[in-house]
Amino acid sequence: MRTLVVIPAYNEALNIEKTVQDIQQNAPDVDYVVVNDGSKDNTLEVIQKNNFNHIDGFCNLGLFGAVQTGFKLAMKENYDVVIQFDGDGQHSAKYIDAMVKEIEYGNDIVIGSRFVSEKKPFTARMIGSRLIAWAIKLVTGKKVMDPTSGFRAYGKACIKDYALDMNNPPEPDTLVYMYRKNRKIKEIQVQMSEREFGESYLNLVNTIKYMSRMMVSIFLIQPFRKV
Amino acid sequence: MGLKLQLVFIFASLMTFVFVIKKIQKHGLNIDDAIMWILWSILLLIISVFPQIPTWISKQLGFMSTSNFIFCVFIFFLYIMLFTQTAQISKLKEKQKDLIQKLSIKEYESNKEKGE
Repeated sequence: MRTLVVIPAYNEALNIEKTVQDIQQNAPDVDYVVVNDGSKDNTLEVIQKNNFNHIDGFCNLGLFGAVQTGFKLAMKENYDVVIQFDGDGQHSAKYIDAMVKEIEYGNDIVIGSRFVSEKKPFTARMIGSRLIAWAIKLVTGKKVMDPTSGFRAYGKACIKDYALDMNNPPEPDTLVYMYRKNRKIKEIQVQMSEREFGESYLNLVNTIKYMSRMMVSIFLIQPFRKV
Repeated sequence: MGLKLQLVFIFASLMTFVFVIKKIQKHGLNIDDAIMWILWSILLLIISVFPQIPTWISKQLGFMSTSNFIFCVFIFFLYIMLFTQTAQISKLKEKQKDLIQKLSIKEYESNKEKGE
């Protein structure tokens, strides 16, 4: 299956080299594309210096916009599988093969999950994850162990959904919509590492914003969307 | 707050909710932008179903009547929405300018390369 790994990169000059090299070494059969999301540091220079395959999005669109650029490219070039892969080195390319296999077996979305065989710890960070998982369970009846994982593979039908719909960001609430569309979602166990350089978005204000968006969306919007 | 006014507010909140959902169904509204409106319609539903809440608050704050207080809340909500919109428009203008500038610089550079 023709697979495209989409790597959104916003101010990831310190991490992007390692991330792409990981893919080149551990998943040599797949194509990849780095989507520069209007980075303000020298991410673009690093990408060009290393001759990485890339799209230069020269204005900042946010994660959704950058990933969607990759989805649109995949649609245009008729790829069978798209893998969303963080540019900060959290995800490991050695799981890509297994994820593509699961798509081949007929799943529509494969989530690289931290908590299939391992237990979810009771930390502050995981409270949000639990809350979202509980909300999805309540609305769809399906259990998602790691809804906030950003390491996902999408099959052909889903590529179109994510590329063309304004309301399908690659976030947990969209999974509810995908379940309602009877897409098959499967999780496989992966290990993730902490990011080495740079800060993540998660502070208190952003977390509250994010959680209220997720809750309102999962309970009050997704159940009413047209499938 | 009278029963009639209560019914008006309940109707208004349900209609807001329905409008927002319809717009999302037709791909005419972003979920991110809809969140505030959904939360607002829920708040309106709560204060119209339980009028004790706004009555108590308006008494504490010294409003002449509960409906006055609710109208005041309406105005405050619109005030916030208008302000966030103004801020968003500024951001959009800035982004559009940035886009045009970067595109024209790219064009300039590629023309220069062709010329050489």
